[in-house]
Parts: sequence; C-alpha cells; structure tokens
Amino acid sequence: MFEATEKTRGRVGRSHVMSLALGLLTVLLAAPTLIVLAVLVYRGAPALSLDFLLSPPRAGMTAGGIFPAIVGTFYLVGLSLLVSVPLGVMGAVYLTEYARPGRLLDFVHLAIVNLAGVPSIVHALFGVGAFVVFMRLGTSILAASLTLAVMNLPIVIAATRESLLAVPYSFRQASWALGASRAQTVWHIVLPNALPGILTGVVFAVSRAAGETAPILFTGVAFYLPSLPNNVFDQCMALSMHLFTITTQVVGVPESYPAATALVLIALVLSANAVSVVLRSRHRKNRRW
Amino acid sequence: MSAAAIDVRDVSMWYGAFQALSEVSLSVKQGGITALVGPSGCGKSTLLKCFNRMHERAGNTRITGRIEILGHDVLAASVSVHELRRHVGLVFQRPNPLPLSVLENVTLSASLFERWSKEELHARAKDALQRVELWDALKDRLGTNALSLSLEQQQRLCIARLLPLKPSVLLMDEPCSALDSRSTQAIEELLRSLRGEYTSLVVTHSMAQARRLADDCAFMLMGRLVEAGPTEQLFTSANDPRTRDYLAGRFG
Repeated sequence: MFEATEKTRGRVGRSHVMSLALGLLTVLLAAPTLIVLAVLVYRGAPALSLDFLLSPPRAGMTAGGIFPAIVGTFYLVGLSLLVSVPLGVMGAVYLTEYARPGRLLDFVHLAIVNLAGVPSIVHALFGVGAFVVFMRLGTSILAASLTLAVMNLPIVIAATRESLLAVPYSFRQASWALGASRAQTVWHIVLPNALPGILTGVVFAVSRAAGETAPILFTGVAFYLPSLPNNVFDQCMALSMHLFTITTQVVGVPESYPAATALVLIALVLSANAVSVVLRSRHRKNRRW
Repeated sequence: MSAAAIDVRDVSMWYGAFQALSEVSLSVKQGGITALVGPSGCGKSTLLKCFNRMHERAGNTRITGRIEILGHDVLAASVSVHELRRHVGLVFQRPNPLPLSVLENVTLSASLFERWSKEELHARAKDALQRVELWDALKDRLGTNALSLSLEQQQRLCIARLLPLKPSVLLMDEPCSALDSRSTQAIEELLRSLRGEYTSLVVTHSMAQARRLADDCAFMLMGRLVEAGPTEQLFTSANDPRTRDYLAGRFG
C-alpha cells in the first residue's frame, strides 16, 4: 500500500525538472560576472605589467601606464569616505537612537531616500554649484571628493540604519537598566554589533566612489595631467575617467589598454570587498544572536 | 530590618491616554523579598519599572504621586536615572546578557561609572560571580560569549552583573518565566540567599512561587493595588474577596 503510484511518480518527476531548471538559472546569474572578468582578462592581459601600473601615460595617452589614475582614484575614494562615513554613521545613529518619531523625522527620511535616487550627473551639477563655485574650491580633488561624499551619504546612512535596527532592542534595554547613558549604550553595545552591516555599506560606497564618472567629471578630474597632485586643491586623474577618455576620446590607444584599465579598477573594488568579507566573518565568529 | 526600603504614595501612571496605575500605595520592607502578583496587564511590571524609571523609555508617559527609595524621592527632577539605576537594579523576564564575554558582562556596569584597574574589576567580577554561584562553573571560560551559556546561567549572570554596582534594591520582572522548573528552583534559592543583603521585588505570575519565595506579597488588579501584607497572612486570611479568589486560583 505504500508503493508509488503513477500519479506520485509524475509529481516527483516534475519536481526534479523544476529544481534542475531553477538550479540552471541560478548558475546563469553568475555568468555575466564571470564573462565580463574573462573578457577583460583575455583582452587586457597583454598590456598588464608592473610598468603599466607604475608609470604615467605617454605619447598622448597611447602608451605608458595608468599610475596617476590609480593614485587619483585612491585620493578620491579615501577623501570621500573620510567625509561620508563619519557623517553618515553619526546621522544614522541620531536618526535611530536619539530622534523622536514625528513629522520632522519622516521628512528627513524622505529627503535621504530621495537623495539616494538622484542620478549621479545631477550630483555632479550640484557639486559644481556648491563646492567648485560657491565654496570656491575650484575644480579640485577636494571638490570632487565632497561631491562623491554627498552621493554616497544616503547609502552609508541607509546601511547603518538598517544594521542599527537589527541589533535587538533587549540589548539596549539591558544596557540602560545598568545605568548606561544613551551614548554609552550606542558606543559599547549597539555600534560594535552593527559593524558588519555598516561595513557592507562602506564597501558599496567604495565601489561607487571608484566607479562613478559623472560626479567627478566637472568637479576635479582632468583628462591628462603630467604630474601627480601635490595637495587636495590640485586636480587629479581617475581610473573611471581615464577609462572613458582612452576608450572614446583618444585615437590610437592599444586595444588592450581599456580592458587592462578596467581590470585594475575592478580589482581595486573587489579587494575592498574582500577586506570587508574577512572583517565581517571574523566579527561573526563572536556573535550568537 | 523593618524600615521601609521603598515607599510608594498615590502613584498613578499613564501611557499616553491609557492609565496603567491608579493611586497605588505600597511600603516595601528593607532586606526582604516582596512579590507582586496579579493577572496579566494588572500593572505589576509597570509599577516595578517605575522604581528605576525604565518606564520612561516607552515615551509619552506621565506619572503622579511619590516614590521614595531609601528615603529619596526617585521621581524628582534632580534625580539622574543613571545613578538611580546603579542603585536599583533590574532583572528582565527573558535572560538578556549582552553579546560580550562573561567577564565583560559582569564588569560593564561598574566601568560605565568609573575607571577601575584591571585587577579591581576582575576582583569585583569574581565576587559577583561567586555570589551567584557561577564562578566555579565559568572561571576557566570567562572569555566565552555569554549568549552561549544555558538560560539558567544567563539569568544568574544577569543578576551577577548588577552586583558590582552594590545596588540596594533588586527588581525582578518574572525572572523565572523563561526557565524550566529545575532552573526556577535554583534561581529561587539564589534569591533566598540574597535576602538580607538586598531588598528584592519580584513580579511573578506564579502564586506558588510567590508563596514559596516571598516574605511579603502585594496583589494588584487593573492598575490598582488591592491588598498587601505578609505572604502567609495574604494566602490564608486575605481581607479582600478578590484577593482570596485570585490566590485560590478562582480567576486569573
């Protein structure tokens, strides 16, 4: 009486087909990433060398390397994080731990969500108006970094807020009941437990700061500079911008150059990702909730 | 020993428009264990939280009347809730150790208020853990995450972490409701052993626990204090018929 009938066999069979199909689709999701990487490696490999990484472009950018662009990207990403992470984290802490619910809070939320939806070219125009012209920073690393920071602020705030809210309320209660102030509770209990989520947001901010071209186009990045920047008021080159330039604006660039440049850009972003994965997994080992 | 540790006079409390406490008056003896009993929603947990002003976290609360602990008005504007909570500790219904090591859980409270040397903190932690009989079990794994302990150990730890502050009153909000009967018994023994040193107030659902544990009992119903007195007297010869009915298990 427990043997499979025709009907049962049909059901089981369909279930197998379904899981196979879904499995295949899932594998397909990974395909674009792998194909992009494979194509870049294949096409960019001939150009990649230590010299390519460590020397400036030569001969009207048709030869030489991308060193100034790498340095510029580091400047821009670093400086923009220096602004967006502390501001974003502190803002999110205020919004979740201190602010009283009400109209004003709703309004601020709405503003932040909308800021996240603003296209990057609009941020660029804002950057020109606010930093380059109004604050008289000129087209400079500082102005470009601040523009990137404004663009990344909502990402950092959203990621931080979400991870703060994920910390169980009972931890806060326990801490308050011991006589801890709000600030002590945030510092000793809430922030350490929210760190992995905040890191995820920071890495996303790194990717965007490194990859976006529009916000830095008018605010501080040059097509070509003969020398490295001396300070934050100089202009700089950047990988994303350089990629655009040698792909579309310059004639006679070796075919492998754009691919190699893209590969370096991706490698930088991925290594930021890897660092955060390591930090997070190390943190998770100590976590039991 | 017989002076009042906590003196509550005509306390009414509102969450928004909802009145949770109505003119509650109660006197709690120093050094004893007093149980607050009553059906769910009768206001016993709310009353407990007023004693260290944790109720204020709910926002939009209003309170009238007077609560004195060891002769000091705790509702006064000049009172710092942080200093108050240092002297009036609270143990929650579900054990809620912080996601830190065992040692850090016990030393956190003290280090919130003052800077201590490592040795001093460790000595205080050891005292506290010995007091709740966790030291022998945990002395070799003070670095483990407190959330990996058994529930009973977690609740012991939650009591231990109050002790380095040398509190005078311990508030317990159904401290055994998440525990099995064996652990409940163990925690009750611990509470009995703290009698005399600390004034304990225990909110409980279980009338049997109140009878086993408490020197005095207070019965609450719908935000009002119906009757309070020595436990045996309340259980055998309560004045109010509602008290008699509830304690006999006829409603609740």
